[in-house]
Amino acid sequence: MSIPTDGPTTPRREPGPGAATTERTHQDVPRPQDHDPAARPGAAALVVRALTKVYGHAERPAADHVDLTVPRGSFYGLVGRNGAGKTTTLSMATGLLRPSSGTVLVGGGSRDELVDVWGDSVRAKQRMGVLPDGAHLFDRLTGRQLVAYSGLLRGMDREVVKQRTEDLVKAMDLQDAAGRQVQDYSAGMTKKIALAAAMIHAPSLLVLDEPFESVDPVSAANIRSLLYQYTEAGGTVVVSSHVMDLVQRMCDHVAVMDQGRVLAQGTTAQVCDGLSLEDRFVSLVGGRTDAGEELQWLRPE
Amino acid sequence: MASSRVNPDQYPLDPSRTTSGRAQPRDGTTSCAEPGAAPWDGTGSPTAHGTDARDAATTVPAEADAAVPRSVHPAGGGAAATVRHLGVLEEARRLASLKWRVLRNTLSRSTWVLVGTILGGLYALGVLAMLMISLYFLGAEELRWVVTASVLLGTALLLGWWILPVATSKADATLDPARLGLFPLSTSGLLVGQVLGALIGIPGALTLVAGLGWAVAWRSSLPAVLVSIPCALLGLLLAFVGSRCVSAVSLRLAGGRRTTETVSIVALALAVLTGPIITALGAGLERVWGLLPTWAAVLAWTPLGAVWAVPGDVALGHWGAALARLLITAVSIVALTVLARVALRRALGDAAAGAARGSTKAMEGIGLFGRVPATPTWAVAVRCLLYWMRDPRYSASLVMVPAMCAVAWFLTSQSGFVVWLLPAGIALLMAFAISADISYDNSAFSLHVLAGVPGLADRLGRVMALFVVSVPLVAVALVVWLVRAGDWGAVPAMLGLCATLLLGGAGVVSVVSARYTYPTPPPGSTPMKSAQGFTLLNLVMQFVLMGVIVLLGLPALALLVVYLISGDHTWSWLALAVGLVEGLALLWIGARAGGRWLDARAPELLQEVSAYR
Repeated sequence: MSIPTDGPTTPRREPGPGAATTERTHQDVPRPQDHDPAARPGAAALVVRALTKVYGHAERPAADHVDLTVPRGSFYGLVGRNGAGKTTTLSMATGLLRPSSGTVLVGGGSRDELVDVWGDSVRAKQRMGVLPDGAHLFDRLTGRQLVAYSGLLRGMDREVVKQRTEDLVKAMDLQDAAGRQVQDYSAGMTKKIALAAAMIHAPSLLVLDEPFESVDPVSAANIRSLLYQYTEAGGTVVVSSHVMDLVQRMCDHVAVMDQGRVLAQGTTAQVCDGLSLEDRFVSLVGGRTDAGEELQWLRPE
Repeated sequence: MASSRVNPDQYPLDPSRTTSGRAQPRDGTTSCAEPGAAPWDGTGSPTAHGTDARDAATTVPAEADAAVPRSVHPAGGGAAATVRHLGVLEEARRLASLKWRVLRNTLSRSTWVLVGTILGGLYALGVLAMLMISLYFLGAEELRWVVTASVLLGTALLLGWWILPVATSKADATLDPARLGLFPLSTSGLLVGQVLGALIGIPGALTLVAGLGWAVAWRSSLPAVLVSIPCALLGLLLAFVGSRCVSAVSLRLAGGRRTTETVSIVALALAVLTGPIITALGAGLERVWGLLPTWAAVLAWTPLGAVWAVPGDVALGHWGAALARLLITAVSIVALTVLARVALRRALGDAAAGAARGSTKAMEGIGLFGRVPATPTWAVAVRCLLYWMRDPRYSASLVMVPAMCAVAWFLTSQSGFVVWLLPAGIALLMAFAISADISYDNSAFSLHVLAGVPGLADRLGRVMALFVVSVPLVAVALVVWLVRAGDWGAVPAMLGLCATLLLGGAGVVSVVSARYTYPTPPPGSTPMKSAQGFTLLNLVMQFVLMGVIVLLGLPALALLVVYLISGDHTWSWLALAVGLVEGLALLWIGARAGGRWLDARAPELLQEVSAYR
């Protein structure tokens, strides 16, 4: 299997169905079974099929038959507005939230077969490293302890845990803070230590919900290059974000979600279709209004 | 994923009346903060296509536009002032209606909360009816007794309002100044709003009715009846202002780690003081009965009791005394108001106090984690142990232990019975303490879910940390008991009883807490803060759980009693054997069953505890 170079030009999926999905979004909801990546299981790191979540008595599902196929080695961006269902989808894909229906399969492992997250959760979770958005951390532990705890919980060897903890702390540029309790960290530092805790077991798939929120530009660049190296070594990264520029520069694949549905997915070039991702996103999602017209009164008195 | 964001429902100041642009947050706004949890309405539907699409994702969210009603557009096209300074009373009224709205929303959120509240309300109504009947019969007594009873009951009422919210950490956090810091509110408005808000809710409403019903007790004298109503209102004011004052001060105090220790020392001192008081009580009920009028007479000249004695003075025509007592009341209300205002102003100006954290000492390496076997069970145990030491929510539950020891020590001077309960009581409370463990983790529990920690490892790890903390405490309690009771022969039986309660209790709690959680303050908040959504039903469940653990301790307890009656040491040793075997068996079964449950429903549990804030 070839390793993708960074840049938005690596078409890993069949171009036909991807483009077709993009075309159809204005008329109808994209439904599954147009493409079947299970036919090429070796290529997929994460396969989401008809994933649906209905909360209580809500009329509209928070996630509505979500289909995603994340190719192995890709840097996959999931974009959408607030409440589009990104976090719900990623929570279900990582075993944090039980779906109402649908399946999630994770690739990887030595024999490279797909594992059902909600069936064989132990094996699936070994392959995944997850950064949940907005979750508390065990913040009375020091930074090092938190990272090590994450490793020890997975039954890793102590010396390996110690060694990797030091490496990760260095990679995240947290040497000075690693001995202090996480509750004293700034938001960006907290994000970084949580990212380190998600990576200690060397997963084959990283699922990161808003990883760059409140991270300073230098650290963000460092983390980005670290993630690139990881994908070049065969790892797969899924990030969710609102920041279109970042996703366009960073990700080679992208999926657009709105109101619990996937509106488009494919390589970044396919989805963008010649526009910038931001313009393409707005034309897909809609809802743009002329704020200036309506908010005439919004001026200092 | 577990979102720890703030529920937007609590923020808009009475949306139906506000004139600012935040009016009428429709469901679209709600769904911004709580992905998926809110109903989805069509505000974000792709209908309006802007020509200039460049800034769509980064500027004003589209919902904001959709939510601005036409009415907010001033006639002058933006020049007229829409934010005017509200009067104190208007602010207070809006805050009170905010409290009302939050109460209503809390009730309508889930059927169980509603059921719990109704049950609580029925119970309270029963108490109120009893109180009214007593007040009616009190009115037939001599005036002297009416005064005595009024002063004592009134003092108890005031103390209850002042101390209970802080002592039980159930202070009402709805109008917490930390949440209102961003609004241009005056301190007076906030204080008046909090006092008005105290009336909204079961305790406040009941107190009001009881206070007005108090007039019945004075029916032998018309002037006293007339005076008792304003006096009751003054007393209520004293109760509410004092309550807000105490919680404002305690919220400020309870922030830091060091102050938690101070609070615990104060609690200990109070506990020690209760010793002599109860000793006095033990001196004989009749003598106490005779002493009551004297106590009441003294209390009637203190801020706590003065206002309740005024109608009696009026009935007797002691106008000077009545005036003096009113003066005392007025001065205390003013003093409490000033104190509360100072505390509130500090709290308002310091709304981000949570962000100002003390720096902790830096530590090399991974500490205790590096010294235990590298298994998930031990990792969980070490993490929990660190939390027992570092998290005030855990250490607050340890405060009770020295307090209980002190009380037992003093009470034993009267009867040797209480100290026998001490070790068992501490074992019971400690075993019960981990029932909140996963609730305390809150969404940090996601790490356990993501790492796929086996349920059994999770359960055993938490129990191990509990034992490290509680075994020494139970041992101390046993020593206190032994010194006071001096019964060496009963040592094995007491050990057996404690073992059942601690081991078996931990087993029971391991099962129950894997299935049933209750709201606790979220990580990083003070133990004094009350969790939203904690209802009477949760309390009932806790009592049931404690009751079950006590029932499980019965075999060892029965053998202990048999030993005490017969004096045969065999029974004592038998109690130890039974206690140990039963405790270990329960622990083993409990950890297994709880672990299996956890394996099956960890995601559901995570969603449940993530919602606690």
